[in-house]
Order: sequence, then structure tokens, then C-alpha cells
Amino acid sequence: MVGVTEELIQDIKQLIIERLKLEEIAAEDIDTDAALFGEGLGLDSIDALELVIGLEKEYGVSIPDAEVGKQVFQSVRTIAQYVVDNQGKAVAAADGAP
Amino acid sequence: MAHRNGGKVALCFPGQLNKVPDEIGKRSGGGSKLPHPFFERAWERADFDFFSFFFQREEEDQYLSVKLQVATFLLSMISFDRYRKKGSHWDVITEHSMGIYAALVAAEAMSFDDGLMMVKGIGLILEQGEQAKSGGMVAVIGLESEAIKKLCSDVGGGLSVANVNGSRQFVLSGATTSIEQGLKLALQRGAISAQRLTMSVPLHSPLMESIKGAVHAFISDISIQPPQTPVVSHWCGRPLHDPDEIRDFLVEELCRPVDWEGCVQYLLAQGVTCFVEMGPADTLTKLIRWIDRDVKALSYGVHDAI
Repeated sequence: MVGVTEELIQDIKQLIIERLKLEEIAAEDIDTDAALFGEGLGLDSIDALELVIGLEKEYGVSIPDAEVGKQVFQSVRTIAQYVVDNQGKAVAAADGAP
Repeated sequence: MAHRNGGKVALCFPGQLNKVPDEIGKRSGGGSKLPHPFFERAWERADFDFFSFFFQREEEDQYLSVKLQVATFLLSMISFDRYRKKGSHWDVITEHSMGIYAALVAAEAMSFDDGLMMVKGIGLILEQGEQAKSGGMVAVIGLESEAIKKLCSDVGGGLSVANVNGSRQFVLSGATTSIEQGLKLALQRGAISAQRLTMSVPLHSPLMESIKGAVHAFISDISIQPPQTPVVSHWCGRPLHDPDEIRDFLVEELCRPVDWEGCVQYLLAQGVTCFVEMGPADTLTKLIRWIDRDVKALSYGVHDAI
């Protein structure tokens, strides 16, 4: 499994801020391991859809359903790990790669 | 007419909160000094204590939805009162679902007291009708319009679209079994979220037809004036003008879906460049963000008022 870089963590935080238009929050205000929904940033399902679209556009990774979404959107770190694990999969599959 | 950034400002009044506000229980209610006179009016006129979250009469206190509707009305009106007293401007008023009552009060079409009694009165009619306890609503996020239509059709009747909140944000209404089936199917078909709402009636659906007579009779005695600010309703896509038209809307809207996306698109076409949500939450603000990422949308909130 490929590791998550600090650069990717920062990029994910920036994506969250821009996608959700969190104008009063800076990347350093977001705890990498804190809960994003309910507690923590207090995001909801409308925000979740914004993040799904943001991840598709920025990294080409898709969240197929609510169950996967629940796992991925636990924290910034879990999102970053999902990106690392899934980026390029669709392209690889289209190319017929194993 | 005052404009912000050269465009018009629209005040948005949200529908029923989905949960008990966080402020409940943090302050003693009843006779203690309340932080806003509207809370006192709610106690005097509607027997509702916001901070303890109860109606004085037990037969009224059993309905969570009615309490949430009255609480939403109060918090929206307090938000509006603060906005107005700060000298802020607005050009048009709009509303989502049960937000119509606060919107009409803000537009001076009704008094605060009449708005309060209307929220409570219609809320009780909804809860005490024959359709109550046998239906509900579910919010589905992530599926597109065609998938939603197919889902309603596959459930086999009894499930209909109650809110079009955006291209991938819908609320469905129906009988309890249809709602449960719809929720399960939505998740199976890739919805990012499907959640039951705190509403025990299938609002904004044809299943509400049976209470139209009771609502019509109830509101016929309530004084309604022409709005002093244009009120753009959640489905007709144009301002409501005269009192009879408003009365008809108040009855019909209970049985017809909310078209929030259409309402926002109409306002954007009319030159609205800033939407300000009146109330403690930011649901409408987030829905507007989805509809048009470039327009300014914010929740004014209630902050220190409670």
C-alpha cells in the first residue's frame, strides 16, 4: 500500500475548503485525523455530495455508494488514503491492465 | 431600492428543523428573563416554552413536529429581527416548505402573533389528520432526477417527490412502507445518503389532500394583507400578491412538491446576487451553493440572540 504524503493531506484540506466554500477556515485549522461529520467540522450529507464531486474532478476517484462514503469521509487522512489506493484504477482498467 | 454588489438581496426562510436545536435545555424557561421578546410571546400566545421545549397542554406537547415547526418559526423570526434592526437591506423574500409562515410575517402580510398561531394551528391539523403516523419523508442525496423518478415508480405508487432541492438533492414523501422501501432502494442504487426526516406526515404529497378542508377553514379567520416586500413562493416561481392567492397557496402547498431549485433559478434570473438564510441552520445556504457556486449565500444565524 502506497503511503499518504503530507502534500496530499494539504491538498485534500484545500479541496474541502474550496469545495465547501469555508471562507473562515484555513487548512491548518483542520485536524488531519478529526471527524469531518457530526462533530469536528460538522459537515452533513449535502457537503458529502460536494466532496464526492470534488474528488471525482480533482483525482478521478469515485465514491460508489453511502457505505464507502462513510468509510472514506471519516477524516482528511482516510480521504487521502482512499485517493492513493484508488487513483488511476479506472484508467488502468480501461487500458486492460491487471 | 438598496442592492448589495449591484444585485438584489433575497432573504430565505427555511422549513422545519430536523432536530431539536442545541440551545434547548441550556437555560431555564418559564418566568426567567428570556433573551428575546419573541420567546415570551410564544409562551403567552401559543403556550410554548422554547428553552424547555414543551407545550403547556399535554395533548399538544406529544407532537415533536409541531414543536420543531414553532421553534423554527421563532428562530427564523429572531434572525430576521436582528437583521432588520442592524439596518441591513433586502429586496425580496423567499421560503422553503414550512418557512412560508415566517416569510409572510417578515413581508408584513401577517402579524407575528397570527404567524405563530398559524404555524401551531396548521402543525396540529397535520398531526391530527388521518394520514398522520402512517407516513413520512426521506431525504435522498446523490441520485439524479431520472433515477429518483424510476425509484418512485419501482416502489409502486405511494411514494412521490416532495422537494426538488437541487439536481441531486430530493425529498420523497409517502406511506411508511413506501418510505422504508424507497430508502433501501436509494442506498442500493448509489445514493450518497438517504435519511428519514423528523416528520410523521407525508408533507407536500397528494396524500395530504384529506386535510385541505380543515386547513382552509382554520386560516379563513386569520388576517392576511398584501405583502410589503415581494414574496416568491417555493413553487409558483413568481411573487404572491393578494391575500386570497396567499390563502390558496397555504392550502395547496401542503399537497404539492417544493421546487427550491426552480425558485432559486427564478431569483437568479431576477438579478438576485446575495441570498441570506434566516434561522439557526445553513441548509438552504448549502443547497444554493450547489445550484450556483458563484452567487453569494450565507446564513445570518441567531448567534448571541439565544
